[in-house]
Amino acid sequence: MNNSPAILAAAIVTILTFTFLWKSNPAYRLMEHVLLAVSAGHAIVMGYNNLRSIAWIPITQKGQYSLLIPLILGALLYARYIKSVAWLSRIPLAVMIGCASALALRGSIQSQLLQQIAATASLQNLDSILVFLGVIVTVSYFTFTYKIKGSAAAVPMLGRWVMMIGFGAAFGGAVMGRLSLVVGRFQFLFGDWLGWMK
Amino acid sequence: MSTYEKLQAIDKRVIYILLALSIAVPLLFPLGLPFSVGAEVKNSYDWIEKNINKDDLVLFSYDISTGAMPELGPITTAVMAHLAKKQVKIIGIATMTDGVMMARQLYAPFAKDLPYGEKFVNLGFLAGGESGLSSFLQNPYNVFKADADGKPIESMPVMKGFKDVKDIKVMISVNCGPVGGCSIEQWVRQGFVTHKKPVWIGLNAVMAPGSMPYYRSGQLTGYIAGIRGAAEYETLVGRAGLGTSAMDAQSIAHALIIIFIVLGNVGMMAIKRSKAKGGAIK
Repeated sequence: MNNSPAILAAAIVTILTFTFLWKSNPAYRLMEHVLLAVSAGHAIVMGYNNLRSIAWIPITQKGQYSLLIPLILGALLYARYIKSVAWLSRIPLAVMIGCASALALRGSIQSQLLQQIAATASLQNLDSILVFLGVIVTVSYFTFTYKIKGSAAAVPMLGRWVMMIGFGAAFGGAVMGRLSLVVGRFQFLFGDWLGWMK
Repeated sequence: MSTYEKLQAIDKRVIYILLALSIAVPLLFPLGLPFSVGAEVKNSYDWIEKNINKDDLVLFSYDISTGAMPELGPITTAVMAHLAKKQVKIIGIATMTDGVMMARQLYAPFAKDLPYGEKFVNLGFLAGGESGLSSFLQNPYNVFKADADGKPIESMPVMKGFKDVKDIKVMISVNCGPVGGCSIEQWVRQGFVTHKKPVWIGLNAVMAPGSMPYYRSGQLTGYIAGIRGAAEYETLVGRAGLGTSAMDAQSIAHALIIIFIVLGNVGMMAIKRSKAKGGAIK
């Protein structure tokens, strides 16, 4: 058994968190708060270090005064907490949204539209033919301008089934992922802490 | 209460206990159930094997939150073992705050094979999401002056020959999604579309269906998903780790979940049919 303080603390926290599976209790709620506090504390330290190394030191030691602009813009984000000057926080937000949109737009059309259409249209084997047909019937499901009637209505219905299969695969992935987290905790308890795993 | 109604109302705690047993027993007494290596993992492995050589510069982004460690930790370890074998130079970054800690933890077993400063550097947290990534790729020294521990990076041998994105051979992101860091879409946009560099991804199982189109369309050169992907990669690298040891537990737990889903549905359909006939539920 590994009783080093860090391992022991992690093992206790893991077990207390698992007690929620029986029913909600103060120990579990304490662990919830600990998790939030640790995450927030860690993010604050990271943010502070970033500000210090990217902005404060270059400004004060190397005289890179242009960095004052992003620093002031960053500080203005907090203006929203003061009612009289809350409007000032819109300026850095506008800059952030503008930059992010411009960056995203440049690549999105290529990566999320053109490349996807090209890949879907390249019919090389049975797999790609199925994907192509799946895309067509799924898109047909979202044709809202007129109601598809008669035997043709089977096409959007098929699209619905294709989506269901897609959601099923995503849900299967979610179950697998969540189970991996539990397996990971058990590996920690049995392996790192108790030393029972070979 | 009829048998079918009982099937619909199994106490969730019974399910939890059975699930815990289905995970614990195979972990303590491994069964060694066989599993195959999928085409995606094999192709991803082969790409590194064929295209990455000694001293090539690899940008490795540890976009891993603490919660995603059980899935992404084994993927990272398996890929790093492969890269250590190839003796590449790794520039480590993290586009989410937790990733800095994870990078430290996941690098530790490779400290001998990839000496710090010579073959590996952990630059730390890259703030700013996609904008930050774009800026870093164009001029890394504008964004990072020192590594995660505050040591100056310009004199480190690992940084020699790294001026900008052009010097990078491949970008690897082990990614838990857009929860504070760069998403796979953002890596594709900045890495593949803007700078025409290969982007190689390790990701959570839950993200696999949504990210597959990027791999299928050739925008990702590598694609490893979930603990299963980690186990497959460990097999190819020849280093059985947490991914492989989790496979038995994962398979048994999945089987148990399937049994519960079938039982629940049998109960539901039987009750529905009984109600439709207007008869008593037995």
